[in-house]
Amino acid sequence: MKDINLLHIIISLLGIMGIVSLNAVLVVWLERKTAGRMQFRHGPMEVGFHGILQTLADGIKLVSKQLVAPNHADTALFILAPVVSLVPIFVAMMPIPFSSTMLAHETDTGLLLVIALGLLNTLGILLAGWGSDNKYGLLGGTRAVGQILAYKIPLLLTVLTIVIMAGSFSLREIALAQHGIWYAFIQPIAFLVYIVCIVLETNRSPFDMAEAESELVAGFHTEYSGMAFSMFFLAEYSYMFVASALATVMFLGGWQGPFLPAPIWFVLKVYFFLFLMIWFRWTFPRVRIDQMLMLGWKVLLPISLINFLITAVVLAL
Amino acid sequence: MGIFEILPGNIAVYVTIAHLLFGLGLFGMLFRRTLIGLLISLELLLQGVGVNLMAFGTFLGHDHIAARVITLFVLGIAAAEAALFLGIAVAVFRNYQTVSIDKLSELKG
Amino acid sequence: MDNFIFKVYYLSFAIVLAQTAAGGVLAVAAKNLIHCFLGMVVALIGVAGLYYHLGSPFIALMQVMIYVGAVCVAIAFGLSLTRKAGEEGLKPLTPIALIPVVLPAGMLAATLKGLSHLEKTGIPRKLDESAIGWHLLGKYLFPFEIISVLLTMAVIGAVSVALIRRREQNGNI
Repeated sequence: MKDINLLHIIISLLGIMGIVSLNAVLVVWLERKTAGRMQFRHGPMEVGFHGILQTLADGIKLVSKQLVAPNHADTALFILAPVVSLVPIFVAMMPIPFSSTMLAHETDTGLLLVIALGLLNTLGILLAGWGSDNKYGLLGGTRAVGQILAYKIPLLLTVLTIVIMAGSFSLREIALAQHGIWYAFIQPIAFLVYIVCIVLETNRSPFDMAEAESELVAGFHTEYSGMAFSMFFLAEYSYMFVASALATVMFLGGWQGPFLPAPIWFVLKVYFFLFLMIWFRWTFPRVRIDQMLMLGWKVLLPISLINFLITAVVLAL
Repeated sequence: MGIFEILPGNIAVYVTIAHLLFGLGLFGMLFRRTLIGLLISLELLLQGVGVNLMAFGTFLGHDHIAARVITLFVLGIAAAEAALFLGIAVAVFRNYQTVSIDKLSELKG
Repeated sequence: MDNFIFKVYYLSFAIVLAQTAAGGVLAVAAKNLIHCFLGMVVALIGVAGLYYHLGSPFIALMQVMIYVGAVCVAIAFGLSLTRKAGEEGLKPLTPIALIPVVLPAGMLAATLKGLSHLEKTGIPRKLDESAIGWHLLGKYLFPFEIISVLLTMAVIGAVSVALIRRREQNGNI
């Protein structure tokens, strides 16, 4: 009790809120520019220099929209779902180390905290699907939850592989244990499986069955408009940030790098993963739901399990 | 803040809330109409048991780690039981098109 | 500042207690099964808070991961697969409803009376929880292995009970 510095936590929470908003602005801009360039056009160019204020304009538009709810929708679930998706992100960002001293709250179980709170996102999607009185919403929500569940296990197995190599659940310890060589080079299979899993966990293309625009109208957030939609949006991009931050800490050594100060290296590595996810979205076509579930259960689960066993055996010898 | 100050460090609070959860779970098991309602009440019951075990182990036991290990076992067993219950509920619904406990107990013979 | 931290701590404990009790009542007394489900989720997260206040953040996070992450989602799937219109809700209350009131109250009274001379207090301290792993593989190895067998049996049992036999449905066995 005595070792909680309240002022530190309050300032860190304000900083986290700033990071979440800034991240959403930057990632949306990055995505639209990348999408434009990959499709041989310019992307947003009007608002601000090269469209950098475009997200701000979108945000103002979304906030000024009216919040509409369907007549027979379950009001409690309808309102609760975006809150359940968004609020755990703020706590999940607390153990993430931006440098070796810059973290909101140091715990022994930081990694578990991030993963456990990421699981609440699943619940938010389910509640959104149920709460809207809409077939597409229900289908989209259930598919999304099935997909997330199927890929939780390979994700957890790859995370466990890194944990037994580093010897601790604390994110700072895991990053510090890589000062010799990064884990991405020792565990390439785990690295690749983890990247596939995080693209799936965050419902991004090519795996965005939950919100497939041409198939399911908008999936679980069909009936949401205005601020509630932007909360889901914010939750999705923040969750992408958290997953990429975990990937940098676990595989690319966190904040360590030669010349630049530590937080800048961290942000660069996180944005490398975010760029990778954006690149995947605009390159690959969408995968069918049963192909995706087959990939998860029949391919990724045995691969990650065998990788874990081999790592455990090698470490014990 | 008087009453709040004695609350957290006292075993009686944890035991009370464990028994409250147990009582609520028992009430639900006796009075809910569907199998899934039964499952939800069962989960509450098991939570009460877990909190009770953990509270006794932490406050009165010599070995605190043992309390945590045993609580982990209770969590694991309850999860396995919930999974099996759900499999049975889905199979029952597929065969009888109902999960209401009254109707299911009428389908004897 | 120190006093303020303690006030926040007590307030958070009161919130956790209220959340668990309210979630439990909602889970048992609601008409719509989805409201019951929500109440259960709230109660489970409250119980995780109770585990945290008992000094074990590890068990609290395990509770959130196992229950809210996996069991609740499985119950949600089961709920959406077995719902039917007029079937939910509570049965009318009969005098049997006294059993869930009298029995736990009696147990609680007996427990508190037995504890009254042994009462230890004090806020539980956090321990180094890596010893859990050593205990699981050392002193408690036998229960650990039996529980893994139990979990395997549960998975195999659930799959075989709920399996759709495709060959029978197509008519060519």
